[in-house]
Amino acid sequence: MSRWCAALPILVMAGLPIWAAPSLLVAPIEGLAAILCAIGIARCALGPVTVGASFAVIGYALALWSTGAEVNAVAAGIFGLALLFLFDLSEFARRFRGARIIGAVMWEQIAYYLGRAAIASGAIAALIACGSVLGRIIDSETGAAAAGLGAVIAFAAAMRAGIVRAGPEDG
Amino acid sequence: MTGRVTPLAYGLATVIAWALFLGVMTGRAELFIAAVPLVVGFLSARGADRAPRFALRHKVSAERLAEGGRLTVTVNLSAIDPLPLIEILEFLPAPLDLSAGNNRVVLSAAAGSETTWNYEVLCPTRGRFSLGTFHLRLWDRSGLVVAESREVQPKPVFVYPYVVSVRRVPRPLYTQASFGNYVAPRLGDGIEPGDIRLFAPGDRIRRVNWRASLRRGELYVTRFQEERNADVVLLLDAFADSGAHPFSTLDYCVRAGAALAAAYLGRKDRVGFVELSGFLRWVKPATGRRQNEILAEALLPASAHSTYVVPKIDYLPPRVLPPRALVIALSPLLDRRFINAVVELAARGCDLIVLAVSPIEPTRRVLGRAPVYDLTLRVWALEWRVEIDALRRRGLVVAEWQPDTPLEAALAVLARIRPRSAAGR
Repeated sequence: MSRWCAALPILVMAGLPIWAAPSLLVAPIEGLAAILCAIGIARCALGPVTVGASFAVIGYALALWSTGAEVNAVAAGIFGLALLFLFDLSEFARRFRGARIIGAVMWEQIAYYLGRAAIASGAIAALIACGSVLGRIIDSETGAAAAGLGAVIAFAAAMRAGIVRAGPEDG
Repeated sequence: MTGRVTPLAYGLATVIAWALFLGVMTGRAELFIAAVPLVVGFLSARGADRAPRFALRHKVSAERLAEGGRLTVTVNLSAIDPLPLIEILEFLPAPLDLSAGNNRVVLSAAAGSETTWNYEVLCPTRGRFSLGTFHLRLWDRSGLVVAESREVQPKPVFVYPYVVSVRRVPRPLYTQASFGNYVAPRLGDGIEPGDIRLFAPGDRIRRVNWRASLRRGELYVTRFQEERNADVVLLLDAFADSGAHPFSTLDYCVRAGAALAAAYLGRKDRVGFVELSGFLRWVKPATGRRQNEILAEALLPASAHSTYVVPKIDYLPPRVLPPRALVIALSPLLDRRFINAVVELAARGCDLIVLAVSPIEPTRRVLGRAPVYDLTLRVWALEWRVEIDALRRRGLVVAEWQPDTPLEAALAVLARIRPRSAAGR
């Protein structure tokens, strides 16, 4: 898988916030994010990609905060998927650079990424549905607290899934 | 297997944390939604409960080959449990190099399946190498978790120095007792006429020299000189080395040694080997095809060691350095200790030839072309020539060998100045 496949997620990641709020504040941040990600891919380094993705999220937050427009769940979902694909593609290319890939590894991996994107899309739909139901039941102050609590729980769950379950034991 | 979380997990966690934090701070739901695919990606990490079972088999096409040869390595993976994504790297010891294919592969295997791949390895220089050290990485499909292990299936590979065919070698001054190819001063059975004498009872009629008998009016018989072999000891200078493998002076010395050993053994001579460096290493003189193998094995690990030790020739047992042996010193003449050793041998009356391998071209190959290097090497070449002249003034027989010319051309000079036969010795 060519590492330049990650150029498309970079374009989406940097372009979406600029499309949401074409301001002089957001564009340089997203430009910097795109450059950092491109450097990370060119040099096969995860660090610049992580920093670039973080800048992209900051720029997106700034764009949303400055416009104050209606919630665009589809754009947010695409932005999140672009970030995930950016990490996946750049990391896959980095890990196996120079190695000979035998058999159907590539197609199986693409199928896995697409399957996971489908699950993520379903999760976004479920989150939006739950959010709209909860929005009608609870008031705005309680909603903010619930959002914060949900964020902490989501982060803790993700950390547990990714870090605590660390694979086969020694030996 | 040792499991660990990859840097990707930390990268994802960082971006998730930013998205959730900014979502709470700005109160925008989009940031929570944007974090969902990343959280799903995180949750998809799947570490195996136990290490999957598989068998790795490894085969090399040749265990013994000459310098510059290529060998094919075939690796077979039999998966007992399913392997979602496995990365296998076979370590190639320096200076072995990949010439075709890839020693690092990534594959996925279903339970019970077998996968075979191969690649070609170039062996540019002599040495003993061990293949079959595998580094394995079992990746989770998400790339967030990896388990690593190492598997060693040692497969020794011997790369022998390239042996050029040498037809004319320097003749030894002294012969030994066994049958060989040199005309010895001793009279007996042979094919080379040596002398005539009066016929005596018991002489065979076919030995009668009719021409001399008719001229002198008495029966004369022809006496023949015996054909005998010689002892040859190759003295390798491993004190110093100049240039880079596989074109260093020591490499050239080893190649010359292997070629001379093969040539003398082909003449039924007994050939031995001594490596002179910080320590002494030797092979006793013997003859035959087996000795050729033993000498080739002994030449393989020859390498220069930095040492302040001055080994003495006296330490060598007489069986290793027989008194009437032809000693061929293979050296770039860079280390004073080796030069002193050969001067000492010559002073003892040893039949000695120094094959001086020029260090200029091997060093130029490393330095490249630049005016300052050219000047330096020219000065060095002059100093080297002065060293050789000094040895010649002491009575040593020195043959210069420029490694870019055939070895036989350097030895041809010796064939002219040394006597054709060992008669009278």
